[in-house]
Amino acid sequence: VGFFRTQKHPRPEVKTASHGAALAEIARLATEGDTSATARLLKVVAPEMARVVRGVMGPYSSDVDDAVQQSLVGLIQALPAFRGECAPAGYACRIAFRTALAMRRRSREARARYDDSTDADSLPASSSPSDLSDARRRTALVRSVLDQIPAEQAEALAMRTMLGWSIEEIAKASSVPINTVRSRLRLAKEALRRNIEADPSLADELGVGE
Amino acid sequence: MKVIDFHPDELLDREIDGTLSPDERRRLSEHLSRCTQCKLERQLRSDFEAELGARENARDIQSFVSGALRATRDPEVRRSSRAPAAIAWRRRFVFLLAATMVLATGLAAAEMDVVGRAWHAARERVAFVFRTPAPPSIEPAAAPPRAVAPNRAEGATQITPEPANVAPALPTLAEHLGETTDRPARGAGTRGAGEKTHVTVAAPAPEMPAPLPVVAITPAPESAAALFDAASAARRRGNTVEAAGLYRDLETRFPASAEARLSIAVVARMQLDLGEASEAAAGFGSYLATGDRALREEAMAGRALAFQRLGRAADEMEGWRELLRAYPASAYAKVARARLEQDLP
Repeated sequence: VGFFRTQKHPRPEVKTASHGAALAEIARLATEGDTSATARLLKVVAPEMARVVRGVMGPYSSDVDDAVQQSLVGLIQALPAFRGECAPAGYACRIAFRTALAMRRRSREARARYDDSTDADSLPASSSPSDLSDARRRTALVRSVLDQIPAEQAEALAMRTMLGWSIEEIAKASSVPINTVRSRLRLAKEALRRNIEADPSLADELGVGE
Repeated sequence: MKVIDFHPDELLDREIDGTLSPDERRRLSEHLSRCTQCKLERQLRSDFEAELGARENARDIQSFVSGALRATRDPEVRRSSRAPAAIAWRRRFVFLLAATMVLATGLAAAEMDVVGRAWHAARERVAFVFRTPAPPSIEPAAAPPRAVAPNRAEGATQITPEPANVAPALPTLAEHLGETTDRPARGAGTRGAGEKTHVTVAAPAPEMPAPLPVVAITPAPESAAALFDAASAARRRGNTVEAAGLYRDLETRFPASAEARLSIAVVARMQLDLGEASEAAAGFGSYLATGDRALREEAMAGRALAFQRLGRAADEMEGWRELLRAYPASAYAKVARARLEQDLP
């Protein structure tokens, strides 16, 4: 217990209370077409959006850069529809999540058309590919579960596990009650558990299915 | 007992923030020892924290932001898109006329500084290596002209899978790149009445909360770097046809530029992704013949893959051997060795 303290990345600017109101104002100006405000908004939310994209697609996916770019473009396109009913960062991260998930599915379908065993696209980007570590297996499992569960549950699971957001932060980002978030997370984790139980080594390691 | 009704989410959150008291830490430990669900959640958060690491590089973020703003410029367009459809289209038409005149005066020159371009080229290289095809979009406005006829090599085996995300009516990339296309030539450095301004109505992002269509206006770029950027942006949007046209323009108008050499390999990769293996093999060969080294490793691997898909086993094997000789530690080495070990006839 306590091992997070040395690993946790700096608390994002988007989540600090002092920036919440300022960011909301920036977002309001951006929705009205203020290009300067749009640029500032993007600069603040882009790191978290990039993190969501890397989490969903995998940090070594060759499509990460494109997905980040498309997510930001998607955010700009969706700004006119933003009514300030949720946190701007949450709105942005949801767009990033959906964009990344859609691109991941497209990539998988495209790869399926070729012989995966020999196509270079299926290689990890590392110059020394090795067997997946346990941690990589677990994160890969989460990514596969994201494809299997409803979008709302997948979003909640991604925000919780990939961004490390609290239940309250997820509720604000999604404009839903806290108990709804709890329910979505519970269902998502049940799906995750079913997948883990199908992998005896993971189940044994995590004590799932005992 | 392993079913716990109360899951201390707050304690898990505060553990991340490092604000647990000794008593809370003890309570959390006790709970984790009994609750597999919280243990799993905690483990996953730790896994992702380790995997995703530190925050994005600030320079990368700035580049992404700049690119997104360029891709969706101008704010007037977004404002107009909020109006009722008829008014929006009228405003858009007026704006397009005005924007065309303004942008034609040389907006492209203000796009990127030299350092930014260099960084962008490096990013482009990374993105190129393991790229997968994005679905080409069908533009509702100003789509490039269709090719008259494909220009395929005699006797070449054409492997053209039916990608689910490619509209069947789209011409092949080879058709768009072929010499027989009726695409109007652009005079280098001249901007006459015949010069085109690309007008693209971008599709809304997938499953966005009510995104509105955006009109992005891209003037015909005036430099090799600007053309390369425009082509890359089109490729990222999944607009393969527009990208192919811009890359072709780049090769025609700035044949001696480094960007033109890179574009040969990038186009070849696009062709490979689209199943045009014969053209891809030729394209990779052309790139390698230029002597450019920026994408040499990727081009070697791409050519071998193209030969594989064409069923040209001997050429493929020689391609992999050549790659391994030049780049023994290549990211493609595992694939190359695996193919060579199969000892194909």
